[in-house]
Order: sequence, then C-alpha cells, then structure tokens
Amino acid sequence: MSAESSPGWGVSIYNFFRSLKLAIVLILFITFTSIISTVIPQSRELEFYLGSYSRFTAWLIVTTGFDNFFRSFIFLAPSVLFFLNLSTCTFHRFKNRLVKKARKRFGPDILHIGLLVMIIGGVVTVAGREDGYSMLEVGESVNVPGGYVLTLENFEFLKYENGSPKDWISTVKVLKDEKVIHEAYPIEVNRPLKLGNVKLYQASYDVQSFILISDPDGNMYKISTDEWIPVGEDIYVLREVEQDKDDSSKSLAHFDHFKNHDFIDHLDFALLEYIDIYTIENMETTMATGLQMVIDPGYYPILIGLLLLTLGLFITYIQKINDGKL
Amino acid sequence: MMPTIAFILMGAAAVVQVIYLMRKTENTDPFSHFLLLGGAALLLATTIQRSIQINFVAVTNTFESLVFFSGVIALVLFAYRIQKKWKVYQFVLFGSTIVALILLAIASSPIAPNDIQPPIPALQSSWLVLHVTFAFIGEAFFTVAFISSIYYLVVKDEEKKLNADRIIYTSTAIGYPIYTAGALIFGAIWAEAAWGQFWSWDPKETWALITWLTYTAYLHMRFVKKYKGKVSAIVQIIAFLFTIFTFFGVNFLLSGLHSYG
Repeated sequence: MSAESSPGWGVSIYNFFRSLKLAIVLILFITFTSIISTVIPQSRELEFYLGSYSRFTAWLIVTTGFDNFFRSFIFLAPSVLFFLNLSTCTFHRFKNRLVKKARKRFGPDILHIGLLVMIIGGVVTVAGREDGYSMLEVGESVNVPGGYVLTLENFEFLKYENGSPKDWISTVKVLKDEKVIHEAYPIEVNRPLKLGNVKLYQASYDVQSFILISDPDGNMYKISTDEWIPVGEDIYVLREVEQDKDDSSKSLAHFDHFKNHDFIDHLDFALLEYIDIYTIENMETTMATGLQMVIDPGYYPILIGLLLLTLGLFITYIQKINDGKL
Repeated sequence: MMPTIAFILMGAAAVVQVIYLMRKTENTDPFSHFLLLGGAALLLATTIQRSIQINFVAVTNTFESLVFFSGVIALVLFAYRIQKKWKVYQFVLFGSTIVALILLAIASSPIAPNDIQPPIPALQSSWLVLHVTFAFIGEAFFTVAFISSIYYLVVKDEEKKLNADRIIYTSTAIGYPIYTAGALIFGAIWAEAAWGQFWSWDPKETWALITWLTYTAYLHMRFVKKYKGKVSAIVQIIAFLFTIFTFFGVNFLLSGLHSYG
C-alpha cells in the first residue's frame, strides 16, 4: 500500500472514536463495572473494607476505586471515552445526513445531543453545586444567597389517620431589600421554593420538648429533650413532652428514671406534679423545620438535555412508524 | 377479590395456550387473549379502586406496582394478538402470560403486603405517577421481547427465527422510549423536585441505568452484523433479568431511596 493511500493519524483517531463497536464495548464495560459497584458498600473508611473482606480484596477495592466508584478512574475514564465516542458519532452521523441525499432522520442525533448535554450538565453540577442546610423554628430567619431574607411563619406536620406522615409544610415569608417577595409561600416535599439561583427544599423536621421546673426556693430551671434532673442518686432524663393544646392539664412529660446509672423505669408527670423536690410549672413542644438550600449551575443544562432526549426519542419513534418498522 | 379473579382468568388463558402449544399447530388459539383482556381489565380496575381509596394513583407500593405491571403485560399481549402486522407465536403468548401470572403470584405473597396505605409526602407527585407507569409499560414490551428471545434460541426453523427476531426488535423499539421516559427522564425530574438532585447513584437508579444501558447496547448491536441473531437474543435475556432485578432484587437485597416500591 502506498503512503498516500494510508489514512493519517488524525483520520485513524477520528475513525476510532466514531466506531460503533467502541460504543458497544464502553457501554458493556460501564454496565459491568456499575453492577460490581452496587454490591460494594460505597464511601466507607478503609477499616470497613478490611473488616468486611479479605486483606487482598479490600486492597483491590480501594486501589481500583470501587469504594467510591462514581468518582473513580475506572468509571470516569470510560465515561470520558464514551463522551468522546458519542460526540464523534453524533458529528459524523449529522454531517453525513446533511451532505448525503439520504432520508433526514434526525431523531437519534437529537437523542445523542441530549445525552451529551446531560453529561455536560452532570459535570457542571459536580464542579459547581453548593448545598446548605438550615433548621428553623417559627419566627426565626435565615439569609439566603442573593440578598433574600427568609422567615419561617408557620410549620405544620400533617398526619393521616393511621399516623403516617401526610405532609410537612413550611410557610415562609421572603424579603429582598426590605421588599416582600413572598408573603406566605408553603414549601413542601415536591414543591421547592426558587429564589434567584437558589432552590429551597423541605428536607426534615425536628421536635424539641421543654419543661420549666421550680425548686422549693422558687428558682426556675428550663429542661430540654435529653437533659436531666439530678436528685441525689436518682436521675430523671426528659425524653418527650406530649402536649395537649386544648387542655394543658392533660399534657404529659415522659422521663426515663435512672439510679446509680442503672435504668429503673419510664415515668410520666403532668403539670404541677412533683419530681422529688421539683414542681413542673410548664411544659411545651416546639417544632423546627429543616430546609435544604441548593445552588446547582448544572440544573438547566441537565433539564435541556432531558428535553432533547425526550424529543429525540419521540421523533425517532414517529420516524420508525412512518418507515413501517413499527 | 378482583386480583384473584384476574389470576383465575389469566391462569385459564395459560391453560388454553399450553393446550394449543402441545397440539403443535402453527395457529394461535382463538380466545385466550379475551381471557387476558378480562384479567387486564380487572387488574386495572383494582388500580382505579385503590386510587379512589387513597385519593392518589395507586402505584406507590410493591403490591400496586405488581398489579399494574401484570395488567399491562396482559393488555400488551391482547394488543399483539389482535394486530395483523406481525405473527405472534403461541409460545410467546404463553411465556408472557406465565410472567404476568408469576408477578400476580408474588403480589399475593407476604413480600408484597396489600394494605391500603396513603402515599408518604415524597411520593405525592405527578412525576412519580409518570415515572412508575411509563417504566412498567416499557417493561411490559420488554417481557414480550424476553420470551421471544427464548423462542429465538430454542426454535430451529430459520423463518421462525427471523420472525421472532422481528418481534424482539419491535417490542424493544416500542418499549425502549417508553422505559427511557419513565425510568430515567421522569424519574430524574421527580428526584430533583423531591430531593434537590436529578441523580444520586442510589442502587435502584444505578440498576435502572444498567438495564437501560443493556437495552441500548442491544439496539446498537443490531447495526453490527456479527452481533445480530443469537448474541442479541442473549443480550435481550440478560437485559430482562436486569429489569426484574431492578424491580425486586434492589428492593430486597440493596438499600436506598426506593425501598417503598
């Protein structure tokens, strides 16, 4: 073969990356390694792997990166290759469709472009995502990036009749430069609040119990959940207040009673009852909401990628029906 | 009660199908698909009844998912049987009916309690409904492709192989976009709204991706001549086993965000 007829290295690399066989090999490799990753507990300490597997297996897991698979070389390297492969294939296919007088079948191209945009969005998310978390009680405020001030106006924990959770609703007021942006926005699971480039999600909640006790001299003490009242060798640990908002005399404070560090029993006290020398003067519960704040610069690229993927699938499907293949 | 009657109807369909299968005639039986349609109607009625009771589309636990999945398989089989474009073999009808029956049998077992429970907050989303229903509709077509792949591997006649290959391809080509939309696209959008991220590499998500990648590999393999036929049929079988593992295996063997369904 003459020197003129052999393809240059540039063409060889191009042909290598646009190869369908390469795509299949990479897909199967990523599939196979992903399967292995799901049976290995992820992101644990070295001691965990040493304790759970033989020394050699633990070494192999940690060295190959299977302990943190989706951030490891063994996942990222084939993913980068797949990205290059998919980009080259898409470019080649698209170019041929435009040049040749073949049927214009752009569905798979749009689908592939959607996948590429999604992968780019995923990389942007990994590189630039910021997460924050805030526990708020009613009346408390938090500053949100972008100059917003968010105040929790109300928090409700709704339950079904069987006691299972129905909804958590954090009603918030939002100000920016002392101007009201939202007077009362209910943040719920599946209903986040968007403020500029920040999204706030209903993530958790916490219940805090308090009691007020007085000693014979009239001194008052505030006891919170898991705090205790020492009386000689006895210790009374407050676990929870069960508050009856309609009739405070029916409210109960649940305690664990210990003597010399040994658990004795569970005790319930009502309002104005005595714990040895102490009198329960008041008891109440407060609820706090857990709001997650997310800044994700990859949000729109991923969303556009998903839309292109959907569009590509739909067009491909319609084209196949029109071609009589389905 | 309705799932039990559906099970009886579909069981009767399987009996009719197996009798015709043993007669070694080329023709498919004339009425088992009506029994399947009856079964599908009862299962979908069960979904509607439970939806009214919980005031939400009843696809939020394993029992409800199995009832829906089984009903859709029966419906897809009916559709395949009445269409005239492709020849559907008795073996494929029988095998797919057995899959639907197995799913219903699991639905009546202790691993899928049928208590009527209203959805927890994370599940109260239209995206969840689209996610689950589309994924199962796609998987119903994958079931037909799976049984056709087994048929492809056991049958000797070349024309039957060719026709089975066509059924495998068309079922996958119909199921793939529906599954992609449901399992991946709608699932990702729902996850973003509920937990603030499109993808979190939860075991169920990873296995849904593994399943999708395997079907993707199958569709691309058809462009490579040497992978056509036997190799693609084997990949199809593996892909369906992954589908089933994604549904059951992950729930019971691996922990994650999807432990409820």
